[in-house]
Amino acid sequence: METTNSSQWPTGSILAYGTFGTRTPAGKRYRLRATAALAAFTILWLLSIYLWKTHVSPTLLWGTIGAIAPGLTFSFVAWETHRYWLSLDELARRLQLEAAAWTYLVGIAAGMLFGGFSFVFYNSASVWFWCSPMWVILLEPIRAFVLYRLAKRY
Amino acid sequence: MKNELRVLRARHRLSQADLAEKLGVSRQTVNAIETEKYDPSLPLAFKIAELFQSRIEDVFLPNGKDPHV
Repeated sequence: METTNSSQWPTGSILAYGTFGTRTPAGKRYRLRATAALAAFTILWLLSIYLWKTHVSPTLLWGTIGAIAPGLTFSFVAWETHRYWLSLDELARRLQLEAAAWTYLVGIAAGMLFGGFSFVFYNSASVWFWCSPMWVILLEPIRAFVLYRLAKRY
Repeated sequence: MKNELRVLRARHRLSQADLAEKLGVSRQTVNAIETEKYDPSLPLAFKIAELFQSRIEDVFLPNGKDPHV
């Protein structure tokens, strides 16, 4: 019988994926689907952009795929994340939601700080700069790190 | 909040993992409740009390209250 006071949260999974491991069916499903979606997206997106840029016919089709693929993929990943959160128990869900809330606040603060400097010094105030998908990718490690720190409390 | 979960679990010869399975939560959640780092929701608190056939106030005690008085 355990007398340990250790939680033993799966650190690797938290930092790499922002999840609590694949021991549960929901954890397995989330990782499998998110990884498959991102892998398919990477191949499809790079291929479609290449074909569109090199004017391989039909260019309109490749351009359209290249345009909608990021949004479609990340909508799917977001939906799967939501399903994964719903499958968690109350403590794990609380940690996930708190990590998401902190990430949102860090995103607002860091985005505005960086945006202000960019606007003044680099003249990068185009709509494409503000809507760059890179922002989402930069926020994920922050979410994973906050989740790790929060889990350590318990 | 103080609680008697560890004592009750030991009395019933359950591991943290066994108890977690019976309650439908993770082992980490059981550990966090036992170490008094996390107060469970009311439904989970009732479930724990029901599992050990105790009253909720016998399992969970307000801070500072001696469980054995």
